[in-house]
Amino acid sequence: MIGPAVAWISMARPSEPILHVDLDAFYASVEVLKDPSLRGKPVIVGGTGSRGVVTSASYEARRSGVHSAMPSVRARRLCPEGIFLPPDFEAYRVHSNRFREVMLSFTPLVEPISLDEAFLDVGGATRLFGEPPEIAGKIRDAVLEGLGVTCSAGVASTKFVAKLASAHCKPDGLLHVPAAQTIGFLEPLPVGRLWGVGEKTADLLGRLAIRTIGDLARTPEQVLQRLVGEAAARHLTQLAHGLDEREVIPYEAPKSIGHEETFDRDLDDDGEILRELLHLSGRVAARLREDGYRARTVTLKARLANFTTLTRSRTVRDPTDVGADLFHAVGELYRALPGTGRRIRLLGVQASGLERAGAEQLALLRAGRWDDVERTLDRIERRFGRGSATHATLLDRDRGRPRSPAAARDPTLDPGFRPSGEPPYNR
Amino acid sequence: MKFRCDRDALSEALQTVQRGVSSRPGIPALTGVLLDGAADGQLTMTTTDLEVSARLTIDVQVTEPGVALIPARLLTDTVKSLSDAPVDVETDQSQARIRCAAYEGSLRLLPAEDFPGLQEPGGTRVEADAGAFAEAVSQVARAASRDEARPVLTGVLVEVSREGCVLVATDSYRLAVRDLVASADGEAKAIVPERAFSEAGRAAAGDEKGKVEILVDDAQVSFRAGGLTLTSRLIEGEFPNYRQLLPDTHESRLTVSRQQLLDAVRRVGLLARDTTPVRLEFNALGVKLSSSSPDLGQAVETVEARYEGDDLTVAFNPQYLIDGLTAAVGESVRLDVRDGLKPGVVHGESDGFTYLVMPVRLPAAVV
Repeated sequence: MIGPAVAWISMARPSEPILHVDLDAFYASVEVLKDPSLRGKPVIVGGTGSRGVVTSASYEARRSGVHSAMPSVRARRLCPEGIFLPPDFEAYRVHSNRFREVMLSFTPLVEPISLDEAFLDVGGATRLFGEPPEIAGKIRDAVLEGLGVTCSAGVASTKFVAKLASAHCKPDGLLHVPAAQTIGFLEPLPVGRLWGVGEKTADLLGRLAIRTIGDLARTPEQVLQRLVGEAAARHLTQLAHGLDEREVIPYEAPKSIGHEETFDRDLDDDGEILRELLHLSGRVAARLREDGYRARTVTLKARLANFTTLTRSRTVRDPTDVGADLFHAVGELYRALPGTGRRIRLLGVQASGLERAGAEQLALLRAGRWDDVERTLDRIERRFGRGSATHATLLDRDRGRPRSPAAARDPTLDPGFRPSGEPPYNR
Repeated sequence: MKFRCDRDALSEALQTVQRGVSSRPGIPALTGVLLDGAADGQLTMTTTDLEVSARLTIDVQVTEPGVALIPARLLTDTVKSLSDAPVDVETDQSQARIRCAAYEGSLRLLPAEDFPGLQEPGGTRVEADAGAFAEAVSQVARAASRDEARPVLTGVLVEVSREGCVLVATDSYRLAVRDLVASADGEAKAIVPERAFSEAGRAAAGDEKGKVEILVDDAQVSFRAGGLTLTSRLIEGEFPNYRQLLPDTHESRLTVSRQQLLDAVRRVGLLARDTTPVRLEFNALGVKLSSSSPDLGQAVETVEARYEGDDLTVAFNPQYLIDGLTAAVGESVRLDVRDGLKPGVVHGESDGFTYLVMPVRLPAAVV
């Protein structure tokens, strides 16, 4: 009767199943990958202007005292030889996606916190990959190999201890805090390291001579309550004892991306309605591009003045992240709606059947060049803010006032319109 | 009809006349090959699937002129399997009797009156060297589209002028253009189905030293090479204006051994997939090729070459690049690039061939 017992043992959850993996000086490391001549130099990302702040600094720059969130003026003073670079989020996103793929090859339970760090629950992965510290080591190797960037990993029984552990062993380190040693590990750390303890709370606690997590653990909860309130006191006491019930919540790809808008007054003019659809299509497409998806299915939602809601879907031939394509589809769906003289209360455009946008084979012959136009718009908006460049027809998009008659004749409002018949890319 | 001929000649002719013609046409009569033995000793064989028809004439000994429609596949297989001796064919109202050495067999005939009459080739006449034509076909045909959704792109554009002939194909991801030296008695423009076009090239390749004759009218095109006449219906529609796609200048140019680059693309391309193309990094030392797939592995290879231009990274579908490099002729090729979003242009050593290939946009321009 050994069999079942063995099976039970091997399926037992390890006592420290939580990993926190954090890429080292991520943005700066990516900049070094882009330009290897920067290796070994104090690279500082952000703060290229006179007023910015540092978003990431290489370890060489950190040695001069530069750290992230520091005003660039200060960073320049501390590290005059520093190489200041503007952030390149597209590149960071690509590496971040690869980082996520590496982690997902070990367990589906990956909770990304930002582009460069994530929690993992490897409790179910031990049969395949070994004990959690071993898995952490494998992930570190795979990240270095796949991205060319080092990372640090903390292994613990709870999320926040894992995070403290990875911070503790940075850079390029691995720290395993066995459950039995958690209290000992936390004991000497300053209270400011605890999740939820900012400068202000640290000051408050300092007044009671609570400086380390150990100090905090020895302070009765009732005492803390008077200082920080009931909820926070409970939270801090638990953390100080190494308790953290938060689970790893895996990231899930969105099933659809949509935008809808309810109007101040009902719309009854086709030109105006199409203009709203153009606007909504553009916003949905921008989100698709930002999140890195292409959609197969486009849905139009229209709520009439009498609260009847009509929805119509269409599947496009090639998955798209281009607003002009979405608009082409919803425009046709709108025109095919039954009845005439409708009054529209709400319009929505939804993209579903999402798939990851990877590399894209470009074509010589295309119906239009909206693709390039919209990607350029993205860049302009990223730099100058939303709405800083848009379709001319959306310029005076001001509901409640009569629309300009010119807009009604704008050919881009015709869903059948393609900016140029056959012509391909521009030389 | 009654004739005697050499087994090899008959076998080869039957195989040739069946290529390019659909093996599964809708009408029974179209599964046959029409044999027409003339008193002057010429045996003409014709097949058709209504889209494409092929006609070939060989010299035989005709003792009794006549016409018969014989199941093509069966006749071809039979003749192919015969021993190397003269073949005697004799037909009556209902069957064809075949005799060769000790073999004797008979095949039931198809009704010859069901076989469609074919329109005689006509229109603008073009003549070119068969060898050059065969080369041109192999260079261009590979760029034609296989996607029936855009029929025009499944064909090859044949543009005839008094200066010569231009052959063009594109599947919208790449474009192949070949200028062919030819003499023509007029102007014409036709979109020829790729299958017929390639078949014509094959026939021309078999008669390299000879000439190929092309006849184009509004509805059909005929190619005559090596005794074979291949006639095809044209694809209707407007071919994209390819001239405006051809860049007239270049910014960055790689001059490289064709074979070396081709081999490198093949090797490194083995690890490429749809979403992970082959990246080419151009710099003063030449070009560095790399590809990586998260779940497969990665490969890198540097090819030394002359490169004039700014450092650039452009990603391509390796197969498209392989097609272009294979099609270009000569020891070295020039590869012009512009940036990661504009087409790369492959030129061989002669000026007659240009191959454009669109890059693959990587998720982020820098990586």
